[in-house]
Amino acid sequence: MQKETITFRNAFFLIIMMQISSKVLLGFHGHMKQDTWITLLMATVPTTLLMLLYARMMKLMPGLDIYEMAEATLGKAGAKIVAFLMGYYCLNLATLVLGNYAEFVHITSLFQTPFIIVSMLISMACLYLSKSAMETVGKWCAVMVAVSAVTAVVLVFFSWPTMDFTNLQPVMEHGVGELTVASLKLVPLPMGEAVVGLALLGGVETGKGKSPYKLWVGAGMISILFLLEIFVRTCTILGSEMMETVYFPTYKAASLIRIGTFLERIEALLAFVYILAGISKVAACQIAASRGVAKLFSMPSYKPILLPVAFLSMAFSSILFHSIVEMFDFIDNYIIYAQLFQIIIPVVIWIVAEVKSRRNTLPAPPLNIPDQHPEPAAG
Amino acid sequence: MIQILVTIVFVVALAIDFVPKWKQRKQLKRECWFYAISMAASYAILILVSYGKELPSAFAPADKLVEWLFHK
Repeated sequence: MQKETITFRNAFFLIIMMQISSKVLLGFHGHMKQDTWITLLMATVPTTLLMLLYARMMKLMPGLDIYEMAEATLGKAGAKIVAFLMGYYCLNLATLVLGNYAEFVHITSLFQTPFIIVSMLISMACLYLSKSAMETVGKWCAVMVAVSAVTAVVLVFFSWPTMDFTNLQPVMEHGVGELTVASLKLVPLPMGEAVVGLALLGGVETGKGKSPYKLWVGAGMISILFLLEIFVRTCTILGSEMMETVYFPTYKAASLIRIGTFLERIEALLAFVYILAGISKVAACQIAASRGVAKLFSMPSYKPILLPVAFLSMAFSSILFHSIVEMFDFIDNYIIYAQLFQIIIPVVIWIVAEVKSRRNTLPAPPLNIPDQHPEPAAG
Repeated sequence: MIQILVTIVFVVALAIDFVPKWKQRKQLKRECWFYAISMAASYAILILVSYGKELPSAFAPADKLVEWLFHK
């Protein structure tokens, strides 16, 4: 399969976008209320371990995506099983994120428009982006992370008069055990969703200062900083009780901003940013799912099947949940079954890769690893 | 109305994306099969949903498995 290149910077932003875009929409429903910021800080430990795992896989098998890594370590039959499972997960994630965003638009603004139409419109935009190639998705993610950061600063600035920092008290109302469990739950949703990056970043550029460890761990830490900012802003505006009750808390918090009588309805800006961020995540998941299908059926390229995969995710999103309550209830089950794809499969591939690398039986990396800034020759 | 819109979207998508592939169907045999089955399934789901049919959730199997393994 032809390798699509992506720059180190765009890969970095793609990982961040995979990690933050769902959580900023759905909010923090971990029942830790005002102590969620502690769980986010505690989550840096398991997140770093997970990111180190992904980085180590890329270091051991440079220039390969997760499907090719599976072939190099588990053989052809193993690669087919991994392609089936990971392809299913990526399609599942594309469907889930598309469903979340379509539900969000449907509930907050276009409540008289049928859900299918909303889902179809978002899906067409995602398809257009995913058809434009991987580098474009990466660039789009870079732009969206920058826009999200600016929006976050603007929202903090405008919400400052409404923010009440006593909403973060009492600190440590929950025990250490409860907080630890809640911090571990943050690994499958949202941090582990970056596993999709393993299916996409086979063509990431390498070279001096572009280590996979820097890429994955750095992106993971920035995502946690983003989530901390979003949590503190939302909790100080809404209060912990209200934050747990409402369905899209960050959107609700932005809707309370009123500067005099001239600046209102600023949440429309937030909704716009959310949708654009969601589009990049769905597009990335569609490409990853298509690559899985292409690997499964030994197709030379994934591009001819992007459209049917996008239409499948659109169709599945319309039968995803029967109500918004079901959508939020599903999160409890999702964080259990997502671990198979985010942790177990990568761990199996990594262990076999370590063993093969010590025995020098890992296949040599492809010769066309993109290195856009090679080191100058000595002398 | 929704059914007409869904049909138009599918027809346009097929005309733009599928017709060129159909001409090379001997080389793209697997792609064409996957394409045809997925598009037919997607269209059937969307049309049934637009007529108000309550289809089982796309995550029903995963949901039931997790319920059975961890919550019983």
